[in-house]
Amino acid sequence: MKKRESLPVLGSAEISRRTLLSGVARGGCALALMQFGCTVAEVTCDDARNITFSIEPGSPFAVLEEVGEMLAVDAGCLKLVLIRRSEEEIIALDRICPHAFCEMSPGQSGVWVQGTGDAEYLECTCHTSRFAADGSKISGPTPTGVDSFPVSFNPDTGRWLVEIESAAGNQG
Amino acid sequence: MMVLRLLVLLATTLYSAHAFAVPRLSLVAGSPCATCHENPTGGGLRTLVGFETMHATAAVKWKSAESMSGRPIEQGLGNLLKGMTSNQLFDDRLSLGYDIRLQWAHLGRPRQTVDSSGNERIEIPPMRVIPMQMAPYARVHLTEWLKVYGGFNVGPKTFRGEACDPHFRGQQCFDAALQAKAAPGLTVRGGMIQPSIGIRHDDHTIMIRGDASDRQTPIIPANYAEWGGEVSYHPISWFRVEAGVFETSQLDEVLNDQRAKAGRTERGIDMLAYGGRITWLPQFRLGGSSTQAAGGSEVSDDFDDDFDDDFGDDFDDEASVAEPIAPVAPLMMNGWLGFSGYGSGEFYLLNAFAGLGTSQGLSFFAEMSHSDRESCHETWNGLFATNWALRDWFVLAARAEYGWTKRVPPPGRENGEYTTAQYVMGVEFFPLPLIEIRPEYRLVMADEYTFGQATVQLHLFY
Repeated sequence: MKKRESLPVLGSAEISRRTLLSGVARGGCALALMQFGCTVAEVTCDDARNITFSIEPGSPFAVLEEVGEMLAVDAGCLKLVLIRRSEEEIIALDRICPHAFCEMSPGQSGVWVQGTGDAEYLECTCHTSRFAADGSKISGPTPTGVDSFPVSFNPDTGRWLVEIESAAGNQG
Repeated sequence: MMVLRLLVLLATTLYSAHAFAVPRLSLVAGSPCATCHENPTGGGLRTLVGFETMHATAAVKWKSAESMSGRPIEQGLGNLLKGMTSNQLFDDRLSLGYDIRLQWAHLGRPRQTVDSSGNERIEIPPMRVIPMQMAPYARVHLTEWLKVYGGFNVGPKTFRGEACDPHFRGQQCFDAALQAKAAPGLTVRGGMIQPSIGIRHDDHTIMIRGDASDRQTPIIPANYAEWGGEVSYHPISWFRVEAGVFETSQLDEVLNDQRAKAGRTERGIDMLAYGGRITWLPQFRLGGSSTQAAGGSEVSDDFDDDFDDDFGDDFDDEASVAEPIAPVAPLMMNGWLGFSGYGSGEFYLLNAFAGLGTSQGLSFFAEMSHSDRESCHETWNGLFATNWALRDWFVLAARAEYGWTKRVPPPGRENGEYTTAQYVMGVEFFPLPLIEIRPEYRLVMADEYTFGQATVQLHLFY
């Protein structure tokens, strides 16, 4: 009769190798099932809406008067950063870095570097991912670029418009 | 050479490391963190007591194994880790250790997207293997009363020439301290150290030191450390106090909501920070005895004279008197009650904590924290956790947390209050010595999303 092998000193009781391996296998299967069956995801923020604003002294958008300045803006679920790229242009990018989800906003993990070509970028200071003005990835560990949204200025009203509702977002 | 290549490959994909402590062990054992860790605030390199405790914590223990089919289990495992019975070298003058953690998880939050057909759907971040930690440690006893210890946090860029690659703002790449026993119960340490703030936990996603409005920028990140010094006074087993002074470079990096301002003081932070913590650690014996009856002790003398059982027999016979009663470990209940404060300039962080643990392996602890800073940025965080060690190698764990932050909201957000609740349930399973597998279910309920997922952590340590 074949001697049954047992694993010594399992806690305070002996169990067989088969029992231990069976338990580990069952636990692994349970964990795999949990991954597929127990993931819960719900988004409760509002749908993103277009943003219109004017740059007036004392308004939250006043900081955008200066070239090179940034401002974080929420549009429902969408987290944007507006950047005064030039006297004539403001750009709007998704401010959540796709790498580790740091917020690329002033005072948090975002820095805008003025320049030309690849020398101009939005940098996530968490891990130095860099994005061009159109949101495309320049360098760093980010897997993708970030969405950019059209921004236009109406000289008649003096207001800027960030188009979100009609634009699916142009991922760089 | 192959092992080295594998290590380099592993290290180059790693984020920087975090040093973790396991508060429940302190509550269950009734010992302060310094009993098991060289760092008195917990986490990092283990003392001999800490190493031997964790080396004996396993479902399958090869150290005390009996022969298996005639073969010692060490051979059955291919002599794996044979001889690694201590982390002390050269007559305890040198101690080495490490922590390596890999985490399988969906990293991030669900997002609402619109597909090409115009349908809204919820996108979940993909499952990723996240190298959470790779940290070697060392300690050298210079004299009986003086030691130096430290650790280094390896990041993805470490092996590409850039030594420091922290994950969180304010996180340091290394910690190092010179620690001296100045007098009985009095310890002084100085160097790149973490101030004694509340309870030091073993999970960097714990919110107590975080910010509900920005989970990627915790107020006190894992491996936060500053140049400074701290005095610890532990005159009696149930009372401990720490006080220290620290530089504020890393704190300024964490709290820098106002980068436009030129100097640190203009951002509401002074050049120095002050911290202190006071802790009461009462212990209560609830039952059990270590008395042995062999040899005619007091217990058996009582039975000798007075006791008859229902069958008319008495126990006053030679066999009963001589038979030893095995010692029964006392049932202890260990507690914590403590407060800490840490601040500089306009910033302060206050913590209050309490815990109860039994030597049978059940523990509860709770902590609250409150912070404020110059830029109208206030946080309140709370935590309640419980652990139940069914075996020393199998521990059930659960915690509930709540975070509230009030800050100046960005345009487009209705109010400046952010809330996040987090519930975590899991298991700490030690299948073999020095290996931990930690499956968990995490449910995060923030203002804008709810996300529940199963995660697994593999922890290798020495």
